Amino acid sequence: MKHPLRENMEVVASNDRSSICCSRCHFQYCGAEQDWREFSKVRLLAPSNAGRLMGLLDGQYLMRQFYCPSCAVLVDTDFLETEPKEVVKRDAAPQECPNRPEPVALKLDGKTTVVLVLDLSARCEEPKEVCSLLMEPVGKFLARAREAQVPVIYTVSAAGKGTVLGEVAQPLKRKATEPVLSPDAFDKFMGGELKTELDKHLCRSLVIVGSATNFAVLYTATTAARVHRYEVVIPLDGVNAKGQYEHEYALHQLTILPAAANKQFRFTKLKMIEFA
Amino acid sequence: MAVHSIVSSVDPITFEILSHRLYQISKEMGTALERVGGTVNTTQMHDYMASLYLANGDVLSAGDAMGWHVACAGFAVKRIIERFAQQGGIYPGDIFLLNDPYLAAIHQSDVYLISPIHYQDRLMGWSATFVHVMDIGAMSPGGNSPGATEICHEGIRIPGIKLVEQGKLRKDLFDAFINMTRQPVMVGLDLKCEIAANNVANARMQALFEQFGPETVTAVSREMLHYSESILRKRIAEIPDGSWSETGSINAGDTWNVHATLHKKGERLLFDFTGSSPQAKKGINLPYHATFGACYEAILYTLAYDLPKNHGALNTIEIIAPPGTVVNPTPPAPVSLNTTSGGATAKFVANSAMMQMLATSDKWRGEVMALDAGHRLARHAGVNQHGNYYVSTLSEGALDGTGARSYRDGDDTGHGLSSHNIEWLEANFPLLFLFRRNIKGGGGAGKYRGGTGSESALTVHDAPEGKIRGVALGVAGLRNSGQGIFGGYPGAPSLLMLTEGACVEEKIAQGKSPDQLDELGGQSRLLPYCEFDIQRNDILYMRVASGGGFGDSLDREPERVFKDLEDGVISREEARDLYGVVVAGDGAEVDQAATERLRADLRKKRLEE
Repeated sequence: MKHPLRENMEVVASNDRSSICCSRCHFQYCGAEQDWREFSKVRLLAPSNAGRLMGLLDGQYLMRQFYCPSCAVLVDTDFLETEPKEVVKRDAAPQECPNRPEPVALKLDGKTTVVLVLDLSARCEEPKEVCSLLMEPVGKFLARAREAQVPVIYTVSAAGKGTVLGEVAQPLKRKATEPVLSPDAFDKFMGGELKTELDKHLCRSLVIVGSATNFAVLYTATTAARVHRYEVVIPLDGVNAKGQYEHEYALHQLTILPAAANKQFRFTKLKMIEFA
Repeated sequence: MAVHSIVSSVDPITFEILSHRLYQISKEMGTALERVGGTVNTTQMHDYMASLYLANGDVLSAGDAMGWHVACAGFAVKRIIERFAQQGGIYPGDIFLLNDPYLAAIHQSDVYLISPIHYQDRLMGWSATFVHVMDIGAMSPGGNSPGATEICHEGIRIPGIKLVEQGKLRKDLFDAFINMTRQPVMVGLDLKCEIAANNVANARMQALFEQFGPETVTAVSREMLHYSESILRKRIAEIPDGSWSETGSINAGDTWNVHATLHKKGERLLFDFTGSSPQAKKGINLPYHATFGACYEAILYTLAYDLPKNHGALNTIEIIAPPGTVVNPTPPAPVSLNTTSGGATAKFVANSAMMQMLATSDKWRGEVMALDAGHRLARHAGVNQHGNYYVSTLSEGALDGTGARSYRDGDDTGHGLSSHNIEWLEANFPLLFLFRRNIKGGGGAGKYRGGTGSESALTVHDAPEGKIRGVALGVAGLRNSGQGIFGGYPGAPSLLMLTEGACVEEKIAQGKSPDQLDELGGQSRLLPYCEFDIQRNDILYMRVASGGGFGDSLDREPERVFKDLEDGVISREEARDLYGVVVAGDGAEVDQAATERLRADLRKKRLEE
């Protein structure tokens, strides 16, 4: 004798015992008087795994799924509030660059790609500045981009007008047709000028290079992904920061942004980018 | 309606005729409400109730009205009998008004009008209606008051008055009532449509008594209750005994839980709300009779959907709701936000427990569906483009997607109530809708997916004061919307978001449609329970609930997934990640082999991690 318990699960009675079984593979979870959840395979996932629009719950809730341990059919999905101490524990745990992104080769459509160079001003011509390390590799990359007719846009510090901070570094060989914007914020989308420029080029993929990773790159890339939903390409050797820690935590932050913004990012290296 | 099959003293043909006639009378009462009413809640949203009661206040015929109001109006009839049988009397042509949430109403805005039905001077029964009036003189325009911490902040509270005395309107009471609201003319119309509907009931019942005689009508009425109760008890008895639980939550700084356990034994059902949170100093609290009504509704729309809707169903259930909790508050706990918060959550947990119970029955498991745990919605008020002060509502919540069934997908934007017509809204209020459309990726994944809800955005336009006032209500937090069942994923959370300082007018001046929020800039914030201003270039974005999914999403037929992709309901990534469906490179069809491989990999991964 048997009767259903829920989708893909039933209560089977034989002799003097009733059991809860998988109605698909007949796996026996437990006795009818027991809680089948305790005998299921369980996974905890970020809510954004339930779809892009569930990303708002990331960090506040965990999605819990129960499967048949034998045939893996999904039998229940529920949500748990994340414990505050869990969050603290996660933050406080000693970690060496968690979620260190692995660079992958990319082939980008030159017609819908724009290169954004953040704050590589004339100060980067000084060898003591960490951003000076980007001059050669980024300069070569920009040359390739220009060859492929990929538009290049620069930003410099708003406060630096009239100083070296207000000019694009010479080694990058900026063309007169390449615009220079100076929004007064870490997030270079502030004021709307950058978005207007990107719209002119029908931008869908935005390659971001520049310095520092933990300021202009972090905040601008976040808005690009979260608000404007661009495919955001970060060449790991095209951005840097004052210290390795600052550089890596900023990259880590991009990999865990909620609301599925983290899924907008592609991590690569300058030489691994090809324009089609 | 089912065929009358219980042994009875009434012949089956007369039973069927009268049973349908009573149902049609309550339906016609609803039509009268819509035709005489002047406010959008009644005329467009159908947020009303019209039903008939026996002389003792037991439900006789609920028509198509909202089940929990049918139960609550029954409590109201009994309270009126208690009060006026002792003092004031109950006479032909009387109509009583009651809106006290600690006696029978759900919150003050739901105003019950109740009329005795006499035949040859003998009390034979009652008719009752409610409409959600446009204002009730509370702290916040429209009645739902986020700032209220006690019921005295929430407007007029009437334990029972005789508004119409033997056919004559008590103008002194009528004027006193409407003048305590912000919208006396509109509230007056609300009350008059209720008077009209009760008059319709009385006239039709008189004709019924004349045609069939009071003895036959009374016999059929008793038989209808007996019939519904007998069939329902038999159905309950067929289901295996057991207990099932569910919890829903409301989050607005604090979290309030509504918890219910349904115990089924023999032919009885007991809903036990023990474990629910203590009552809140926020108007989410649901009075006991409304909690009772929520459970009654859960029965009506599952096991009794094809039976005459009457007191027979009530006789099969018991409710335990501990005093001092969000499901049985004690004065002076506020209640004004409750229908769309504590009420929505109580309905969700009661129905969810019912669904779990039905799933254990071979006969009834086909009726299982994923359920909605509520949504966000708003009211608005201010001076309109015609120079008049107004209060109204934004019923975007009526565009919820419904939950998936055990045999098919949920309906897109298919909620029970109706939503407002946008052109009508823009013609009457200083609003400009930027868009109203189906949400992409909103419905919960599953073997059958949830229906997708709507999203809409508006700004103010031609507002003499340059702004209007909004009130945010509903189930606050992110755990509202459709909930998946038996492995199904939830629908996207329902949101109210205010974006201030966007470039709406600039976009319009450029001749472009401002229908992409990403392109409009501004500073955005999610709205908790609050009042807020909407000014020029501000945007109120409203995303309502989408339905939850049913069953394992990897069991969904790949062709259905592909159709969803073609229809723009889901993205290619969601087809791959949620359903394990791979589309061939040219996008023209499902890659069956790759899909099978991916699904096998995903199942393997479930057991590995």
